[in-house]
Amino acid sequence: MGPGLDRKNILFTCCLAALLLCSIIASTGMGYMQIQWQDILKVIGGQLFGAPEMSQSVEASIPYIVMDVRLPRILTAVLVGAGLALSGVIYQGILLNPLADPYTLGISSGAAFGASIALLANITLLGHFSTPLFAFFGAIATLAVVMRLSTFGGLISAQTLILSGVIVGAILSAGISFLKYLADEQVAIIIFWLMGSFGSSTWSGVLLLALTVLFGLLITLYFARDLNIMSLGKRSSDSLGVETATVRQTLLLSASFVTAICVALTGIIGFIGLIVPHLMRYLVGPDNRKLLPASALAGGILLLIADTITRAVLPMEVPIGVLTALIGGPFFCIIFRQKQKGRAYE
Amino acid sequence: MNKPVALSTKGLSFSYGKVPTLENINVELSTGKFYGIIGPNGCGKTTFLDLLTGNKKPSAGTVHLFDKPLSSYGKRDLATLLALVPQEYDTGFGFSVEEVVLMGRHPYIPRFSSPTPTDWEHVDRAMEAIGILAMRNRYTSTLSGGQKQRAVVARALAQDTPLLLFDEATSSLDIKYTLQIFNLARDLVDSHHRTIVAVMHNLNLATAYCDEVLIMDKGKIVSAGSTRSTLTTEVVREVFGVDSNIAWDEYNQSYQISFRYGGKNQ
Repeated sequence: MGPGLDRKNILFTCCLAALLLCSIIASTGMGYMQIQWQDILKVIGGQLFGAPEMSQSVEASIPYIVMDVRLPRILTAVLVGAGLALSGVIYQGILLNPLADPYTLGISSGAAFGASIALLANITLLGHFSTPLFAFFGAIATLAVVMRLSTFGGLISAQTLILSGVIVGAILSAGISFLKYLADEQVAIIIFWLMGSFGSSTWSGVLLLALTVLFGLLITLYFARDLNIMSLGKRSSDSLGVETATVRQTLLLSASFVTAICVALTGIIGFIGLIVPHLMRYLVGPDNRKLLPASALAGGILLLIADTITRAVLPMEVPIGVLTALIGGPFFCIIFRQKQKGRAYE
Repeated sequence: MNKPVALSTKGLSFSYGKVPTLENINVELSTGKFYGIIGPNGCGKTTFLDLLTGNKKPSAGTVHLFDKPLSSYGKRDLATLLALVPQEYDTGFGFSVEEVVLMGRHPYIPRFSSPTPTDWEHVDRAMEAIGILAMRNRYTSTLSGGQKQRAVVARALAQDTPLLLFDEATSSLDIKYTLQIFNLARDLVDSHHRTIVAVMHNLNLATAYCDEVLIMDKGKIVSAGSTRSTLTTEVVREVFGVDSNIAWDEYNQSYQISFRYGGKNQ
């Protein structure tokens, strides 16, 4: 808590931010066509400063590849990673459960159910936005049901919230299976969407995600100290002057909104919201004022690396949700085992 | 001389759904006194404390704190007047002891501000009084139940409130630390004019430390007043169904209760 530790923390956050920028540049250069980092900086600089002459010396196709193909996808991966990690910190903090993540509440299943309906019924009323919009409404409706189920006498209990999330999630998963069964020939589209993909990222999606993640980060940083105290349990935080019920509701809604937008735009991507907060808690400690920015940055870096591996390193593109689960799952098992061992010796 | 009233309730009732937990509780608790709340398991003691702290809303009746309705205080203001040491001692995702005790200063530190030297003074003094200064940098996840409970008591002391509510605050502590905390509490009442309301199960601690006791049974206060005149063998039999004997203890300089045990050494 002293000044020395704070300076260390600022330095660590700056290092993460620098690492994120380097990862973005490196990833932009990787792919079917390798691009030099100098050329990437010229193209981005030209766009940022409105000076097209900066990118005159690079090959004609490069500005198109950088600006229209790779960067929207890369920034989408970064922002979704940041958003999911941010939501993970909030869910874990509020539910007082280190195993909680954006999926424990059933939000992702709700989004997936909504999207599956749009895909199955071939709803194209709103063009490209139909599936994400249905996913979003699915997520919000699920949140409403889960919160209604776990509210007693105006209070939400952390245990009933998880239970309700698991119950509603299970019902929705069964619903998705039923939709797949009905889908017949269209089943491939649903399955592919459910596995997650950054393939169809656009600049408008990037803008929406950026605004959403920024909103999420600001609101959670505002309540970060309250969230620290809420980890002591409701009776303690209430008696320490925290408006526990209001803060909990505000943060849950914000985290679910961020999750819903992420899932709506890119499908289900698991484990980022679970692993990143764990890793960062290990590195910067449990103080949410430090944990939130660090997790957002690390979530962005991690998902970008995963997406770059599937896009540019592997011989064929593996759905990103499958990759994060394949890498993240075993990694999480190791953390879980170590934690349990530590507890057994206490 | 009558001491000013710190906390009072009128017709206070609470029910979970249709089941009444507390019925028509009327009490007046004066400043500068040590109160014990005594009663069998499940008689509504913790619910009563939750109503006094505003953590639960009464289904009927009112609570007044320093002559103003409890509901007229903002959460933060309330936290500068009233501190609770809860039964459970969750200490979060591995914060250090110092950080947990510093959380007691939350109501005094504006949002986005850092703790002032005065805040740190309170934190240090609280840790010193409880004897946990040496473990200030230890993570609470590595502490034993008793050590955690002491950190939570220190947190409530750092809150620096005129009223302290203890909900079985020494349930995980050995006799040494139990006495340390009760001696400290008694000193806060005698030397610093604080008011303490403690839910307790050990009747002998009540006779040794409390000025007055409130005896609860089945959601009601069945008897209240000075410890000596209220905590009688008849009340113990009526409320707990246990035979006892109360006698002056020279060694301890207080009345002590002995119970009729049924162990094999009898």
